[in-house]
Amino acid sequence: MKEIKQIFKKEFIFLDLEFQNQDELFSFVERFLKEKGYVKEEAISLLLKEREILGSTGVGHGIALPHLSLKTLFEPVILFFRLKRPLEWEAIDKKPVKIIVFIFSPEKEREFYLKLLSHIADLLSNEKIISSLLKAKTKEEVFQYLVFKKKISIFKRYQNIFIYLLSLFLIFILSKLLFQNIKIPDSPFNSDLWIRKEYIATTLFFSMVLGTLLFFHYRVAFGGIALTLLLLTGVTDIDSTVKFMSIPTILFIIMVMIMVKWLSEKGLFKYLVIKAIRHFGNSPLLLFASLMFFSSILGGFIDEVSAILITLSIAIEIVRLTKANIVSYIVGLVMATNIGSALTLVGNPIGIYLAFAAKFTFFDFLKNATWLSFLSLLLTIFLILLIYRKDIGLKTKISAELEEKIDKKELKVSLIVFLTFVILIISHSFIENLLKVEERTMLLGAGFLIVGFILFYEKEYSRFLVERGPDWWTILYFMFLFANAACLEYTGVTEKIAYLLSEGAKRIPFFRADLKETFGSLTILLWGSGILSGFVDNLPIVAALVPVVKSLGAKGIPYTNLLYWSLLIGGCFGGNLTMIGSTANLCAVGVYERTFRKSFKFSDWLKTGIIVTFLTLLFANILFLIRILK
Amino acid sequence: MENIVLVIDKANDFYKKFLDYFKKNKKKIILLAFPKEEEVEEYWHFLFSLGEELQKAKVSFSIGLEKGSLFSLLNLVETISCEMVILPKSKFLLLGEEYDDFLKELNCPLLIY
Repeated sequence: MKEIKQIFKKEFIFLDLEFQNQDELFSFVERFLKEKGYVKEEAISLLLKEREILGSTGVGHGIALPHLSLKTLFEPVILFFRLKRPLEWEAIDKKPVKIIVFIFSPEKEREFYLKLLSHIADLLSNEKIISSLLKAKTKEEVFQYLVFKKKISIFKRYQNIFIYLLSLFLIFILSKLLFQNIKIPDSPFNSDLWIRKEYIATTLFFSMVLGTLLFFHYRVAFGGIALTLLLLTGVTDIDSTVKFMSIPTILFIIMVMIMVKWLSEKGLFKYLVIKAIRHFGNSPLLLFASLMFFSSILGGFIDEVSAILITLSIAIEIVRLTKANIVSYIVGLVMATNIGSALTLVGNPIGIYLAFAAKFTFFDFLKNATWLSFLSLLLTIFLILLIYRKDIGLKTKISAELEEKIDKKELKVSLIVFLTFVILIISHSFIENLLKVEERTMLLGAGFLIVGFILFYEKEYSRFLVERGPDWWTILYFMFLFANAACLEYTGVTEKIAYLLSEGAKRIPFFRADLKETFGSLTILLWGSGILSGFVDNLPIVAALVPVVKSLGAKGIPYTNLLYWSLLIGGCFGGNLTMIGSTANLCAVGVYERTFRKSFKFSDWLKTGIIVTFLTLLFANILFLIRILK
Repeated sequence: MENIVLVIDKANDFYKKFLDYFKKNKKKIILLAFPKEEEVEEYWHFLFSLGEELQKAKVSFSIGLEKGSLFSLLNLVETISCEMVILPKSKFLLLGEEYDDFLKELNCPLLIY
């Protein structure tokens, strides 16, 4: 079998020639082939033209691959043209073409001809190669790019798999060494049996977290496999695994997802936000600030993804009217939503997880998280306006343009349902005390009750709501994640980490001896969960660290509750650090890329992300410190 | 004449029925593929061999390949005069929750096979 380097010749490369039209180029090609003796009588130009009439050979992205198989040709020929002035080619994307590769092959060598075509098309599907070909200064350079396809090393091709396996191996070795050497006085977890379970549980937990980070689309599979291995190695059993899955938390998340889907479809939130921001009239600055504010409030009461989708759709309209920079709106709204998701217990899955795991009520959130998030939101709005002050657009009248049509009756029903849910969530602990039922019963009950009503109300549509409302993929991931993380607590891993953390915190200089452990642990948890949440989903981090806080509480360090709040704040605020920090970020970037057909730059996010995350975490850290000292 | 965009999935033979239909009805079609990174060359080969068949049948056609998400199809549909888009169900299902946005933005009829 011939190779491209045997066929392709440097003298068949033509750089920066100029042709008036396709016909002129085809005539040039025919003359050239005849001069070189490849063809004699064939009207190549005509055949090429006929092929173009049948359908353009422009494959898009400024590239055309005219090709013919000819009876009389004795060997394949490839001609490469880079034009000085792009030619109209009726390509599938209607863009003029700048790179044209003619491929001629003997009719009897059909299979080779197809291989040659696909090989060249494959090369020209690579943006880097196209860019190199466009920049190449000599024929030699073009020849090198086309003939010597850069071989991707095995390491590069399977880079993530290597990183994954190597990291797991290191985690296995390090955790084995670590847990063998930490001996907590009077702890049952010092025996060889538990130490074995500890390093297996740690390795498998990280197998899921790293799997999520490196192979995001397979995260559920990684969770399932890790759980199976935990069962097969005897680290846990089926009954415990089901218990670890924290079914009440999962059920509550499912109920909230169904309700939010229904409310979003009714248009309630969009209507409310438009009503609210219309009062801020014509100033683009106030408009931007108010939209961030309401995005944040929405993020506190519904999930962050729904909140960002609603406000972003309004933002796109505003950007259209004010000619503002959409990037500023995307970054600003997402950051406000992430901060706002810590406002209440329903704003973020980690809030729900904490409510069930640490038995926090709605009022606990009000006392500890709401005010802190609110102040941080004001700081965030100030920072965003400062950073993007030149990008917020022109004065405009939005009142008539942003009109949301909505069925008044449906609006009333959905508003009543939403308010009832909020009231039930606020008063859940009061109702539980009144009815003398178990804690958190009414939290779950509120979800069941509201969803029950919605399903009655929607009749046959209710099945669609149950099937499409919850993100079942994510729900299953959460279940695997909770079970994996709970194994860390069950095997004593988190107790040992808590022991290390408190021993480390004791060494902080210049601080009140009785509060060193609290402040040190809080600072580590806040910044640790914050920075990690910028790169990994915040729930695995919080799920793994909640038992650590429980163990610290069991050790009797003061103000343990604040440590839980530091996890909530770190997990929510840290999501602002990078473009991949939270689902809301990814979702907003996805909307941007689809709507504006452009890629969002990682650096565009990062430069603002670093400033906002650092300052909001620092602000929260100072507020926590004040609370501890008071 | 308006184009029909046929997105090819090698694993789903049903596209052959459309090709037969196009051969009989002389429709102008764009054969498109959205392969995974490692399947690009294989898909080009497949597209060119289908192109040969269509050329013999004198069917007007063009071919193209996109590496991004199915949303890049929207660009193409907006640029050309498109009569209909035909998608394999495997690609449509990959849209997941985004199918709604995709349908909203698609400005021509969609057929799924």
